[in-house]
Amino acid sequence: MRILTRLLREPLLHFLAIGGLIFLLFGALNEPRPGPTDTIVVGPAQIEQLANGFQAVWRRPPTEDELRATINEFVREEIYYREALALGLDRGDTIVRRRLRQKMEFLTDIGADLLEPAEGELEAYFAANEQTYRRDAQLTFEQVYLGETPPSDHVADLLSRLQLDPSLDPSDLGERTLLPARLRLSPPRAVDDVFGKGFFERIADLPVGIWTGPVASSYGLHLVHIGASLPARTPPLEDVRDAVLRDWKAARAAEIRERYYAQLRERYVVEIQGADARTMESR
Amino acid sequence: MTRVIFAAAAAMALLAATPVASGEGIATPGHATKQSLSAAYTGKVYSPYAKRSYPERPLWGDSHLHTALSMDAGLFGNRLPPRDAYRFARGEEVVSSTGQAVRLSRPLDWLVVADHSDGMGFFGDLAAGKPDLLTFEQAARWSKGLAQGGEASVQAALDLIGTFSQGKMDPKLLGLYSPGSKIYKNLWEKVIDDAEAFNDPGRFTALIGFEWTSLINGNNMHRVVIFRDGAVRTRQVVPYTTQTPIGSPDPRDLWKYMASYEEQTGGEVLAIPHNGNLSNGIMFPLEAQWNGTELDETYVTQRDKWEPIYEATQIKGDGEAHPFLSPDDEFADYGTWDIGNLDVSEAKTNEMLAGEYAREALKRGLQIETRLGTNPYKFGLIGATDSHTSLATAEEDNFFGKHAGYEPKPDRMSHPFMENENGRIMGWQMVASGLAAVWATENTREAIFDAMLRKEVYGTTGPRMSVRLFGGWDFTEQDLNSRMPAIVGYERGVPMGGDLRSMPEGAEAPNFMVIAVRDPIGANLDRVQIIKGWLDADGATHEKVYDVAWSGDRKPGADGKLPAVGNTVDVANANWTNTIGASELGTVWTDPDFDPKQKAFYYVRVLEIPTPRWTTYDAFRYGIDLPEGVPATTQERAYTAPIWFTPPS
Repeated sequence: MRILTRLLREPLLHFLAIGGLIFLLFGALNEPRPGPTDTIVVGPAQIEQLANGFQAVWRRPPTEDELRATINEFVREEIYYREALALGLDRGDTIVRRRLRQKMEFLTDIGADLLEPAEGELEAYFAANEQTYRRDAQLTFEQVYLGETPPSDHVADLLSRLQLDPSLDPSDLGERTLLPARLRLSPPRAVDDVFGKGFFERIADLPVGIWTGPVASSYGLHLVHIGASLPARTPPLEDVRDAVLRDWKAARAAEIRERYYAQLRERYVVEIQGADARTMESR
Repeated sequence: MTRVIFAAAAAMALLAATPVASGEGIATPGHATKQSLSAAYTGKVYSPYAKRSYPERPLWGDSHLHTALSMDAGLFGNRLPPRDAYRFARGEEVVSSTGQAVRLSRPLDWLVVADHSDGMGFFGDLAAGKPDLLTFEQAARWSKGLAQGGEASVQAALDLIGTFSQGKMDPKLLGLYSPGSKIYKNLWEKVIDDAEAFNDPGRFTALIGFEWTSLINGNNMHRVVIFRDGAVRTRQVVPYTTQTPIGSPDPRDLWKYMASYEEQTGGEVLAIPHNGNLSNGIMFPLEAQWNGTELDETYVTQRDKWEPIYEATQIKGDGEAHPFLSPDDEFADYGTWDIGNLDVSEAKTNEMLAGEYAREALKRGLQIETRLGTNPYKFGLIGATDSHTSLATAEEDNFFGKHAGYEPKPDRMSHPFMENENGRIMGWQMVASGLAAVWATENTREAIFDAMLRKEVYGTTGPRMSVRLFGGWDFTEQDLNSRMPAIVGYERGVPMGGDLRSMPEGAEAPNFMVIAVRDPIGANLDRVQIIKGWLDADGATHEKVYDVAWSGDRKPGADGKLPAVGNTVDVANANWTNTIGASELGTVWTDPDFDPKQKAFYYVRVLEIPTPRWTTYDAFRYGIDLPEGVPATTQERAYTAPIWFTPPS
């Protein structure tokens, strides 16, 4: 007992005790940022997800070896992921930033996907955007290619023969060409794609059912026989319902995305500094 | 097996197109004009359109386009999702990622959105969620709020996001996020949904696909994978990636994935490699793959089966031919990118080139076929943009660059596109290329895919010239003068992408009927060339370029070279005129050097007259000078799929 009291009074012991305390305190105060936890639990749900991932590619469950390799790869990724976060490698990385932004935008899009138009809403949208769903005029026609500078008496002769003899096969007449002798019901862009800009317009008002011409394309002159002509029209909503619904949803998604961003934006004060700050200030 | 059936079906379709025997149809009256044709057509059925199931016009498309869904595209600032890519391709005006209004001169007929598979589908992570945390009920409230529209729907969406972020999601709602549910949108499913929404058979085709981005130490082995099928089948799989263990950078594993897809879903799929020019020699191996694995029967048969087409020209360089490999070809050096691999991490050496360029690969294929029994490089040629802007622009006067950072702006041509100690590629070196033309019978996924499979395709560096090529043994000048040469072409020959029928008794050499018509709104044609490659008795390969048709009355010089067509380009005003060249060129050409004991292939190259390069339009529109070394003009071109000859064994 005496020895103990003496020891407790011993300055060296005090020194050691105080030193130890300081050491402990120092250690506690300077504890580094909590490091990555050292336990990685790969639970049944996770394993199932990994197996599903394999199945999605190969359309069969993984073998034991394949599953083991997949799990090992997952663990490797998880470790690197945690270490990278601990090192702050996610910060200032353009790819990470862009991807996170994409995910945020995606969340609002999912909201829009839940939407169903209320009574009359789709009709109103369709009416307001009718122009988008308008079907172009269409023509069916046959043509005989005459070349770039055919003699006019030859053209007149060919034309009158075609007009007089309906049994004549136009695909045997005229100059050699890769141009199709006949186009099925086609809108202006399909016709102009083949014969050059403006050809549809030039033949659109020709009389139906007789050979006429010559009409100029970007390759030369043609005789033309319009088989059928369908004017431009707006289809009934029922015919284009899917497209209208898709566009309505896309419009709503864009709207929700913008509003959501506006709300987030309100929570921030943005200072743009520098010479051109005024012109660059965001709205 | 499916493929064999398809080839047979195609053959039967061709047979069906054959006019019935002479005399059975109604004879057409004879005409005095020299253009008229009688003999070849007397046997036709009355209706000229019946009994005909061959393609009448090429369908134009881009088989390789990236949108904002590709991580690198997004990284460079692309904000346009697939929807906008489709809208643009079908001819609508859109606003580019850099805020510029843009529109195509005319719509495309079809498009493949091919975003990188690695990094796609990340939303699966989110959808997986953490089920144990989710015990609350909000679904009804949100649905109601969203349905109310206006402010209520925004609030509902915000609430949904907040709840989700705190892991307080109702399990019922979570169910909606599960695979197969209505709103579960893994990116891949979104890709499919968008393609479905814009696929409009007969008018515009949206083929479903992705890019498998295999990169071995910066050496490019990328492939675009294209499905023939719609949502039902493609939803059953997800794209193949290059990350092990589920993915792989070895094409052999990609082919296994493709086989597994066909076997399990009953669908069909093909792959199109590209940018061998950035592979540093590993795109078309002769002996062994990059990792030392020898080519074997499996490799050659699988590659032949799954990769019927090669993308030979695009923004990152033209890969038809290289001047080092083809020193006698004065047009071989077109849009050449040969300083290194994809990221220029390794410089290029001349030994690498033979494993990189399409023409050389076609030649190597003949050698390998002799050794292993199958030609792994028996492919058709196409062009595509590989643009990362969601904008399929390949026209010189309407070029929106490789990615959002190179959309039109004054300094884009003088800015280095890529630079390190191995070398430098400048912005001006981007090639405004290319497009694919497909001789499909109709504008549908099935017809376009089938035409790709039978290689009845060709590529251009942007313009839309029509090119027909038929190979046979008895074509005559008169066949060419028939008003519709395609009828004869299919009847007595095979189209591009095919094998010459067996050599008939008495025939001496194959002949080829080729006709090219200029782009309806484009430049006239300079010349048509046939490029022949063959294998000699010693196992060595050779090539020769023949000028077979050209404009005007030019005569080949003493050196055999045809004089240049001339140049009408007004560089200062970025303009040209069609006062030289021809709007249409055609000929029947017989191989003067044919040896029936040698394997050979023949493909066509069509050259336009010189027109302003995209950089010249930039200089004119921005009022700036072209940087030093930038060519002011370009001779755009088309490359067809070859026709092969194999001696009877």
